[in-house]
Amino acid sequence: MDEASLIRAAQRGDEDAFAVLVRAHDQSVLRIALNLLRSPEDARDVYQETFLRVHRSLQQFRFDCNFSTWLHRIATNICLDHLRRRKVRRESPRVASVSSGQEIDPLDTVAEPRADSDPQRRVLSEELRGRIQAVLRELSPRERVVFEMRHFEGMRLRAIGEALGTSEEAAKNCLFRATQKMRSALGEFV
Amino acid sequence: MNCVECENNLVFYLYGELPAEVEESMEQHLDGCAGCRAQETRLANMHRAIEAERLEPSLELLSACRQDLAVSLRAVTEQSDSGWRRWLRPLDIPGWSWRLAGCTALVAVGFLAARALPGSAAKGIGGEQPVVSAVSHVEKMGDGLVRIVLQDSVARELSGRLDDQAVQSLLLAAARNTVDPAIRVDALDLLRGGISSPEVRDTLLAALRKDPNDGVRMKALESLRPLAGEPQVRAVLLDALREDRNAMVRANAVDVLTMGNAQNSELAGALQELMQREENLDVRRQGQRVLRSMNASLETF
Ligand SMILES: [Zn+2]
Repeated sequence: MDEASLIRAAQRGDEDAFAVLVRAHDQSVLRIALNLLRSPEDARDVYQETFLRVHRSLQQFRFDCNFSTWLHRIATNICLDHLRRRKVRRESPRVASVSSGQEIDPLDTVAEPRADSDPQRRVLSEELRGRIQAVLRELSPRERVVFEMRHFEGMRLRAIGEALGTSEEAAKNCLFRATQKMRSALGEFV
Repeated sequence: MNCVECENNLVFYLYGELPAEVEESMEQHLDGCAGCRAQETRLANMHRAIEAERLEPSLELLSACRQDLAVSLRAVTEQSDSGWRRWLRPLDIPGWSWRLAGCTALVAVGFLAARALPGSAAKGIGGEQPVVSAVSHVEKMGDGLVRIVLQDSVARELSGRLDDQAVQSLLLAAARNTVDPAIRVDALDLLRGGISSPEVRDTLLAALRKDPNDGVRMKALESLRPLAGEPQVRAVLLDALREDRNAMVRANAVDVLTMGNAQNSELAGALQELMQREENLDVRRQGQRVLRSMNASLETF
């Protein structure tokens, strides 16, 4: 069955078709959430909220954009909610940054930082990683979403604009601001 | 192209987002300008460093998410086992944590069944085959030997009516203690039939307050609907409205709270407080709708 038929079946209430749709897209949703929120627990919440909302509002999907664009829009809005709430509460992620390389949560089996035998280089690269994380946290939620969609998901500006329900130009401005902040913070390190 | 123009275009040059003709003149300039070329190299290094920060979700995290979703969807759609049960199936990956979780659940229920059965009117069909082993102790013994203590348990079946004391206490134990959230949801669902019992009510309240799984808390919330007028239940519902980390649970708490018409002033107060800090649009809309229907101000005071 192609995706359009699956969507129509799911809209008619076919839960198996819905399950297939979820499995086709859920890894990318989870990756976006994990990278934006840097917390497996929060990513888990976003995953759940995203697909429950998709399940509830599937009837409203009218095939006027890609299903994945629509899904990303829902997921990124939920992530933005989380990021804004975190900004308001001045709250750091529930799970500490993974830059220590320690496994903190059994679910948090993310990629290990690359081993580097030269201690001085390792210290420098730890410092660099710390700075990158700090800048990411300082970006506005929207800048961060745009920046990560470009760098972690490899999305084109047009696709990012669509996913955020905004223009390519607005996404471009956001990305430019974010990159400039990164450049000025990482200046002497790269 | 001069150096200033080159610098202005550099970011989008590396993103591959420049029109072809601009890109071409960028390349020409970079070929002849060591300064701009150095800038380009630095920016490209920065991109590499950033991309190294990309996290890949682990398969364990993915399967935990899928399991959460399956449970919540079942709570939401009230669908029978057939559709969503497949979600609970472990991924086809060589991970052992799933099997371990499955074992723990079976072991727990097995022990409970063994304790609760004798003397009850419920009919137990006992099999004598040990079906599950859980390791409870490991020890090094010398001479290269290792001592392992296994807990074997026996799978048994029983059937009985919900008003049977043994059946009810097994369901209560399953709702409280089983590892598998899908079993907790099923148990809570069955317990709805016995909602007049204080023990059932306490179990539902405890699940709503403390269960780590969103789907289980949703199910508990939904099951408490008939009791929405009782003060003790309302207090827990209000806490869920204020504090639950899942927006669906918060939104549904609003819904259930409007069912019981007692102490609406307290609900209005909690909703007004919620409006100050709730970020989730669904929950806000739900809260505003209720507040409007209560004719209360959307602001505090
Ligand atoms: Zn130049």
